[in-house]
Amino acid sequence: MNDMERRKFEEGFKDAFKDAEVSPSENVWTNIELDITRAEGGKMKQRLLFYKLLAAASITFALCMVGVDYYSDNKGIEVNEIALSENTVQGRSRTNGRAQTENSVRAIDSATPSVVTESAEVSPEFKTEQTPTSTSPSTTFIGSENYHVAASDLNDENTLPDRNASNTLYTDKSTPFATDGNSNVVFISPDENFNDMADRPLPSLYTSSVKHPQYVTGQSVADPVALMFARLKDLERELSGEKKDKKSRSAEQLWTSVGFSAGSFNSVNPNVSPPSNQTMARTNQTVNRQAKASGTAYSLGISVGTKLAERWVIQGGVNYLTQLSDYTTDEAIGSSNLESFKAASLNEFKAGIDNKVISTAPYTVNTSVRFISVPVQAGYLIVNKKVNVLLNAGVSTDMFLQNTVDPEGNGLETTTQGHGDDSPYRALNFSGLVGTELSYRFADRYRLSLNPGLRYPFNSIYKDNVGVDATPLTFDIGLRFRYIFK
Amino acid sequence: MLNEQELIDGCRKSDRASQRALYDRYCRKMMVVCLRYSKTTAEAEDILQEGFVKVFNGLKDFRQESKLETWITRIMVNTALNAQRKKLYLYPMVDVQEIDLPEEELSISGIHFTQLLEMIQALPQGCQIVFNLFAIEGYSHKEIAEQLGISEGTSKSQFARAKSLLQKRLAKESTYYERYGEAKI
Repeated sequence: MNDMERRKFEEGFKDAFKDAEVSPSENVWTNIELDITRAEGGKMKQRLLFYKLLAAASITFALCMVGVDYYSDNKGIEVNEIALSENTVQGRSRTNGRAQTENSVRAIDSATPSVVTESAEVSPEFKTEQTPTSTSPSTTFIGSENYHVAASDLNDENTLPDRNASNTLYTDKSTPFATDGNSNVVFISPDENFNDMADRPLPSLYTSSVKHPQYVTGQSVADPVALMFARLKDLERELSGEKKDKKSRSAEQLWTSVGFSAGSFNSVNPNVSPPSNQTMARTNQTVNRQAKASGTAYSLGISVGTKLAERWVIQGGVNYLTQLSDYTTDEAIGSSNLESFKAASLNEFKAGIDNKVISTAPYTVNTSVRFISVPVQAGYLIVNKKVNVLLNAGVSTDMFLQNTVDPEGNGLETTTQGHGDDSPYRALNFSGLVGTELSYRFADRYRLSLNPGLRYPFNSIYKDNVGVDATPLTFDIGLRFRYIFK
Repeated sequence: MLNEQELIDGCRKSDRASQRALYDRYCRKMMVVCLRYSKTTAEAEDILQEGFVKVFNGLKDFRQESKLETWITRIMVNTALNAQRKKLYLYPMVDVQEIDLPEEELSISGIHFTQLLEMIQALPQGCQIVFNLFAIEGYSHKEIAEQLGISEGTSKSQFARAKSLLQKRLAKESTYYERYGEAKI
C-alpha cells in the first residue's frame, strides 16, 4: 500500500464527515441554557456581593463615625468636670484652706490634654519682683504639652506672679497657690507662713506634676491657676459655640426630599407550579423563564421626613418604580384567526384560552413592570453631625400599574397588561425595606444623601391562582436632595 | 437570518436568542465531532453541552482570525480530549507491535458516515483519539504527541493499529455486501 493510497484512505474518512450532521436531543440546549443562566447568576451574585460590600463599608463607616462622636462627647464631659473642679478650687481653697483642697488639686493635676489656650488672662493681683527674663518672649508650657501660654500674654509685669528667688517657690498672699522648685503646684493656706511652708517637704497629695522643667528653671513664669481659668473661659466659649451648632442641627425637624435610585433585582426562589392545563403545559418553560428573569430597577420619587426624637426620624413618600427584565422564548401567541401575534408571556397565557401557541425561532422579550410605591420608614440617626448616618427600616405599599411586554421578534405586537381581574399581577403588594442613608449638609437648608437599600416583597407579585411565585429582591442605591424646612 | 458577525455580536452581549441561533446553526455538525471522540450518544451530548458553554463564555475573546466553525470545532475537540484524558490515564497508550496492513486499500466511498462513525466508536480509546486527530482533524503525530503527552512513536503505532482495525472491519463489511448484494445502509 503506497502513501498515496494511505492518504486516500484518510481523506475518505475526512470527506465522509465533512458535511455530516447529527441532531442532538433538545435536552442539550436546555442544559446549556441552565449553565449559562447559572454563570450569569454568578455574575449577578458578584454584583450583589459588590453592593453588599458597599453596604458593609457604609455601616463600618457609620460605626466609625459613632465612635468618633462618642469619643468627642466624652471629651466634652471631661472638660466640664474640670470646669466644675476649678470652681470648687476657688470656693473651697479660699474658705477651708489646705485640708479641703485635695480634690481641687487633683483636678488641676489631671492631665487635661485637650485644654489648649491661645491667650491667657492672668490675675492682676499677681506681681513679680524681679527677673526680666520672666518676660522672655519664649512660650511657657504648663501642666502638659498641650497646655501653653503665649509669651505675649506674659509680657506684662503685672500679670506675672510673685516669685521667691531663694527657694523658687512662687506665691501670692491672696491666693492659696504656689509652685515649688520641683515643678509642683501646691496649695498654701492664707494663714500659713510661706517660709515655713517652703522649709518642710511637700505632701504628695498636694503635688501636681508639671512636666516642663522650664516652668521652674526657666525664666518665664505664669500662674497655672490663672491660666487654667483663662483656658476655661475659652472652653466655655467653645462649648457655647458647639451648643449653638448642635442646636442648629437639632433644629432639623422637618424636611422634604426628591431623588432617584437605580439597582438590580433578581427573583429569590421563583416557583412555577406544574402545568395544570394544556396551554400551561406547552408554555411552562416560558413562564418559568419569565418568573426567573432578573434585571434592573429604577425609581423616582419624593419624600417627607420629620424627627420624632433626638435620634429617631420617620420618613414617607411616593415613588414611581420600574423593573426591567428580559427572557427568551421560542413561542408566540397567535389570535384565534392567526392574524396577529404577541410575545409568549404570562399575561397572554392568563388572558384567554382562544389564543394559539405557535413555535417560533427563539427571540428575546423585554418586560417593564411599573409600580407606584408608598414607603414609610423609621430611622435611627447613628451619626448626627454635618454628615449624618441613618439606619432605615420600614414597609412599602406597592400599587401595580402595568407590565409592558415588548418582543424583539419581527411582526410581534407590544402589549400592556394592567391590573384587574384578568391580570396575573396583584394590584397591591407589600414590601419590606432596609437601608442606610449617608447624607451631607452642604448648606443651611440642604442635604445631599446616598441611600443604599434592599426591598423584598412579602408575597409574590403574581396572584395566587396563577401558580407562579416570584418575589424579586431589589438592591438599589439612591441619590436624594433634601430641603430642610425648619 | 442573522449572519455570522451578527450572531457573534449578539452572543457577546449575552443575547439568549443569538446564542440559541448560533447553537442551532452549529450543533448538528458539532454533534458529529463529539460522537467521533466518544463511545455513546449521551457521552457526546455531555461534551457538546460543555463545549457550547465554553464557546459562549469564550466568544468575547474570539479574535476572528479563523472561521467561527473552525474555532468552535477546536473547542469541541479540546473539550472531548479533556473528557477522555482521565480514561487515557487509566488505560495508557503504549506502542504496539508492527502492524501488518492489508495489501489492498479498501475504499470507503459509498459507506454512510454513520457506519464509519460506528466503526470509529468501536476502536479502542487511544486508537480512536489518535485516528480522529490524525486522519480527520489533520494534526501531525508530533502535535498529537504533545497534546496527549505521549511519544510520537506511540501516536504512530496507535494510528497504525486504528487503521488496521478499521480496514479489517471494512473488509468484513465489504464481504457482507458482496455476499448479500445490497448496501447495508
